[in-house]
Amino acid sequence: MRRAHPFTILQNLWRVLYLTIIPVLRGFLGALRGGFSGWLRGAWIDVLVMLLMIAIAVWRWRRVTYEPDDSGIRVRSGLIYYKDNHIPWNRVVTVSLNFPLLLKPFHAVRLRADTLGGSFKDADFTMLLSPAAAEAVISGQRETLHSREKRQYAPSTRSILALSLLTSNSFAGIVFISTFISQSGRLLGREFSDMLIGTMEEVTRFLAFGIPPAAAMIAYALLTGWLIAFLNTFVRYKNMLVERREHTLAISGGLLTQREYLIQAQDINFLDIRQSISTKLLNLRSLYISAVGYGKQKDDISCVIPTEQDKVFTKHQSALFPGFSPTPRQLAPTNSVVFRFIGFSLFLCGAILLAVALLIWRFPGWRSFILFVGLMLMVPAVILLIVRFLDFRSGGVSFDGESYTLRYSSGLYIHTVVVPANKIVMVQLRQSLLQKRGKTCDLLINTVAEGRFLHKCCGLKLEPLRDMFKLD
Amino acid sequence: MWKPQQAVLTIWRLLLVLAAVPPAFLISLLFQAGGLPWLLLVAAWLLAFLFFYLLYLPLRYRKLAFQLQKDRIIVHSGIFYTRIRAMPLQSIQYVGLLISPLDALFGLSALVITAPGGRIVIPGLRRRDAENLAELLP
Repeated sequence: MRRAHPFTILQNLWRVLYLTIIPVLRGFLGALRGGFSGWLRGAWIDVLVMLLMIAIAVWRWRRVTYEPDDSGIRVRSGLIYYKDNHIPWNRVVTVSLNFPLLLKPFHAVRLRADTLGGSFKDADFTMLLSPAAAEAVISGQRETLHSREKRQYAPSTRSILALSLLTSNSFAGIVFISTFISQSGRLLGREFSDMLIGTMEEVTRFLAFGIPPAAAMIAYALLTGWLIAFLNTFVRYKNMLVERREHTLAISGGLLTQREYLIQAQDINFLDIRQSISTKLLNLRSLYISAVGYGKQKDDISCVIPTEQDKVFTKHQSALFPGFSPTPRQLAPTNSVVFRFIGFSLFLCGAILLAVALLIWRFPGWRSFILFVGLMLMVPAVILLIVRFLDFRSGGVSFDGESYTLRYSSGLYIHTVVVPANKIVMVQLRQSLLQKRGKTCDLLINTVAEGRFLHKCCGLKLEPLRDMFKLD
Repeated sequence: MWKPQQAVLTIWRLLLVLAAVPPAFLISLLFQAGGLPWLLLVAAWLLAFLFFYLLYLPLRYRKLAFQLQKDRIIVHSGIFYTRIRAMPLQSIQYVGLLISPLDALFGLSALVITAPGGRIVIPGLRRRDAENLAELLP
């Protein structure tokens, strides 16, 4: 039986960090009673607790063993409750290898394998191993690439830059910065984090350029957040390579942390071609896939084809995923349901304008700040309105005998989803009282997933849908 | 088309009575009997109770039906939102029974059909019928 990389002991130590409450409390009470000498007298307890933590971490590492064979991988673990699991390779959908930058000096990689069962938040098998040990585990799962079957796609730097530019999320960047500041305060002292915040305030005041300082602070925070998210995305997708073999799809990439994924092609649930308003205007598309265990972690490479022009996109998509071609719409929303699509976003835009007008009337001294915030809120509201209108114009469903093509919008993105009929686990036709008059309904489809994955097409005629899905 | 047992309507009504007790208790505790707020809240409580008891639950029972075809199971339900749910038999992972204390009292159970990514619950089946149906499903 083999063991995980010794670095796992440090990870296990992190899990028993709560035991440090004992020396902290002991030290606090000892110091209260007898000052420094009082604290020193009981220091042997602190040493014992540290030794206990190390012992638990080492014992947990020793108790976890694995043994790969031709049929699967057996994992034994547990301190008090002993677990013995055998994960068959023919049930594994996705295998991934992560080479994090921080673990490179220790020659450790993170191996994950995921099946349809088990937790939908975590992989079914996760272990830190040396690169050689990880390769030994998954070598049997790698398909050799015959030169005549070679189908490869390596996105250009321009394509990755476009993806990073157009999909980076300011909120994600802001969460990253705020976590960094709070953690730096925890590690390096309160003064350091106060210094960081103070410096940010001074820089913002200097660069306000006539904008109200509070509004400038928000704007620069959003911009910095976006920049961090942009760099994060770019570094994650750089050096990306997608290879299609007969039975597997191999995806690799990453500049600082290398990632590699092996996915069983037959277990790909659906393809998702995504466009935002900006990519739709520029005639660009991105391709995502759904497979168990792929794209689960927030730092995974979840996009298979970053932004490409239509012709180039179609060429690579057909080469990598034959049999997953979108078909033209057969059923589309009728004109009478337009407010089903744009009603909420119209209401949102109206509500923001009304709120701005009321607040300016009530607080005239804050006019410029209120106008700025109102403008910031109107931008996503108007984008949502445009996306929902585009959804109305392009939404619908079609069936070519084997796969369904669903066109709908979700959030600020327009999706074209190609899903094989055998990957649909539930079809729901939902008709409200208002829709009864127009004989329309909403189509909701659940596809194979560990959790719940729902696709929704709105405002379609009921009877043709019943015929299409054979629901008499 | 199969219908659940009529007794399931009785179970729903019993649950409604149980759910109606806490608000009634809170109204009598927090407001003075005979005062305007008390009268308004009692009227609202009574209207809501009668609406659910006499209209909503019977309609819900009337709209609930299911059919087992050779390759799928289809469930019809819903009042404000009429729903037709279809699940292919090949995607069913496992089937189970759910029996609440009230279900046990009336000899009923709910059939829970689970697929990777979706779930259907059919309430109000006789225990034996639910077990037979569970055996028919893959």
